[in-house]
Amino acid sequence: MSPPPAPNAVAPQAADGPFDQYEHDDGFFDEMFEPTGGVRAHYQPIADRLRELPAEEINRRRQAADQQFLNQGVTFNVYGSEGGAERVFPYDLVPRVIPADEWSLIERGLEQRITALNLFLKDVYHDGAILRDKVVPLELVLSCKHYRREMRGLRVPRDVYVSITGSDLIRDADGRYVVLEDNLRVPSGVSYMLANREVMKRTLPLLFTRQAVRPIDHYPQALLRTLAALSPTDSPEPNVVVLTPGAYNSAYFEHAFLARLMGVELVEGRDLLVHDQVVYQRTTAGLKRVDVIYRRIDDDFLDPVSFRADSMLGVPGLFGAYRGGNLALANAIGNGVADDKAVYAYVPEMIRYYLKQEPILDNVETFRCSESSHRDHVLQNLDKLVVKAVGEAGGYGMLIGPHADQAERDRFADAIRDNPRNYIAQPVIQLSRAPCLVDGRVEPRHIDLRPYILYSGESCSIVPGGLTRVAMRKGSLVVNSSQGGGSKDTWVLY
Amino acid sequence: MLSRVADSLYWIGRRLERAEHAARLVEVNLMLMLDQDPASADHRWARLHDALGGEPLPDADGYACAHALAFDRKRDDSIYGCVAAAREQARQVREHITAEMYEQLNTLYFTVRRTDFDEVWDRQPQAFFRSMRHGAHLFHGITESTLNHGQGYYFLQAGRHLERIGATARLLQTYLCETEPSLRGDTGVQIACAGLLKSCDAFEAYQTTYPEQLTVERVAGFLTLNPDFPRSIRFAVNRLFDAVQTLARLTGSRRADSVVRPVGRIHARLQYGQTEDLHPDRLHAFLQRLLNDAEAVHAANHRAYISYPIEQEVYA
Repeated sequence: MSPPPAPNAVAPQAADGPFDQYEHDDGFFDEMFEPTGGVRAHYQPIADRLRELPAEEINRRRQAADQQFLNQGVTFNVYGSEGGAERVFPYDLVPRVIPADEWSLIERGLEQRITALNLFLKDVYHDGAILRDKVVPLELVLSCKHYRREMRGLRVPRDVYVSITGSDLIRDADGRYVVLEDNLRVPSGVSYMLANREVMKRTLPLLFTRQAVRPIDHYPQALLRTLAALSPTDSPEPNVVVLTPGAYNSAYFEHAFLARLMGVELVEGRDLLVHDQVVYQRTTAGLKRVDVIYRRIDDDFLDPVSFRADSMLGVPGLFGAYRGGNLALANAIGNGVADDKAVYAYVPEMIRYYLKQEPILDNVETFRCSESSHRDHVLQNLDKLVVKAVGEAGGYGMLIGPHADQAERDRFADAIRDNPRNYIAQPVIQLSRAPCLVDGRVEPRHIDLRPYILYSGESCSIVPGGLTRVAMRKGSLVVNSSQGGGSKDTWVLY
Repeated sequence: MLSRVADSLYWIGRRLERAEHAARLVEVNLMLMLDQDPASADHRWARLHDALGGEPLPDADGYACAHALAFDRKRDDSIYGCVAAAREQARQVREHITAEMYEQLNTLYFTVRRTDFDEVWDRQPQAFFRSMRHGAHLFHGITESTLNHGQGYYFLQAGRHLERIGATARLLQTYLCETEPSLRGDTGVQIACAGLLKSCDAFEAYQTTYPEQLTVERVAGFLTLNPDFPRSIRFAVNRLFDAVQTLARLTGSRRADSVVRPVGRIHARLQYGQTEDLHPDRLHAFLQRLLNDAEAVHAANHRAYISYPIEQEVYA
């Protein structure tokens, strides 16, 4: 994506220490600066500290932090390079700060959303009331490629489908938090959240003394409690394991990291076997029963008997053990039907339907072409909107209105009229900007936020923080780690 | 401990031991080449290859043999192959070894990977092989002082010493049991025995123990039955026995006995062995029995801890 135009850019203020390169832009919400140019109160201590520290000192700390990431092995594997080369995840030293009132809104909003999504999954795989009542179109659900017929009528432990969620939040131009995506299958990145905090504490300890930052290091224990609570057996100490595709997976570091911090075994498919609908791990002392699997393998690859037969990562018979009620999986199988792009558009309706509440956090405004009023709006505003075919992924079947020519827009207009159900449209997304250190100066970069939500069936717990992803390239709106994205520590204040 | 992890650690021990052994043999051979007439050199390399017992070598000179034994990337028994395999195993079980161990293995891997053999050969080939040995020694030292002495440590030790027993037995067989020209005449015997001792880093230790002449029986006795010398077969068997007994205790596995017993039998044989067992007429058979037993221990270990039949467990 090319740098967006900055029509209202304000010239950097001279003699503002490290901020003299900081361009203000009214087109986006700035986390640190008011539109008038003043520093927001919750960023004041950080701004002060950055002005105090000489540029050389900042560079020195940055190098020390680099070394810490390397030593800790905070890396991700890059596919395609020889032997799966490891890279250090890029990061930024200026924390992102979220004041308590904003966090409380996020918390309530996500709890409401996860509760509704979990009810939706239970409904879809059992009674289908929401489909019968035509609140969510049946065809939409059945045609979703992540729908798993095998899950119909299967009672999952404690009725929890979504134990671990990593929702992506962005802020629009007015600073309103909106949900861009719900990751209900295998959300990743939480290890970077934890590692960022560790490194920050060592690199800029003084900052923590000037502001009361809520701790996050209890996440692994909270995760373990959430997982252990799913155990189908009465054992007081259920055997929880983390299932990884192996050392070549891009997120292997995270799998190993979480297993270590929870004090549980990190297993691969070949370490497990199923006998009489019970899963065992093969140890030097003999077979040991497994009660709960935190799986970091996609549905398709879990069990070659039930799903993809060519999977070398899975465990034959695993699904049988799950169906037999002898095993808990987190997250459940078939969750993808609820974080599908098209189904996403219906989450506000789910909240109203199941909880009789108004959504606390909005979706990114989404127009469903199946509804005539939406469709008319979309057709009239094709030059301003991004149109997505719901069945496609990875940018296929997508029209970026402002960048397309008239012929292409006409083609999409015809396609939408032909098969309106297959299309949704959204405005071009907006990401807020936060201060980042670039070559010793502070410059704005676009960011999003991925908090990690643990759901036990009775309650939600969200560690106060999350992964703030940063588009490290100037002007870029792409925060994905595969495309030059990095991260920074996320502070939630008391 | 997961069986897969135990297996990986066992193989790291074996692979590194083999890499170290091969590096030492090549290094010693390079030195001996300087003392002997070129005619016997080719024979010497062929014998070295027999001692290592790997894939067939192209019939070739020292350069080709040293290259194949050190750098051939297609051979999984070359030094490169062993170090690369050990590092790969370590990558898979990184959570079960220390960062320092992994770092050292990685360093060793990149050293052998980046070395240009032709350059090594033209300059100081011995120095390269020496650095390989030192790299392996360093790994074991780091392991000793950073890794928990728990199951993982003992699987590593079991692999390492089992490999050493086999390697030393094969070496003795090739050097002492052949009826070949080099064993005729006093000088021939002297050189052969000295070469063998050096191949085991045993020359100085031997001379301290037996300051007299080098004889085939004495050398065989020293490398087989000496309880104190770290590269003697008996020493390695003692360590192996210690490892499998500790593993039996740590795992509490009902199959542990099937490993402890065969190792215990070898242990007793060496503990109470005498030099008569090593008489030239019986030496080959004695060593062959050791090799067969070592192979059986390897298999028993695998059956007990790694790939035991599920039925034994679920119907137990």
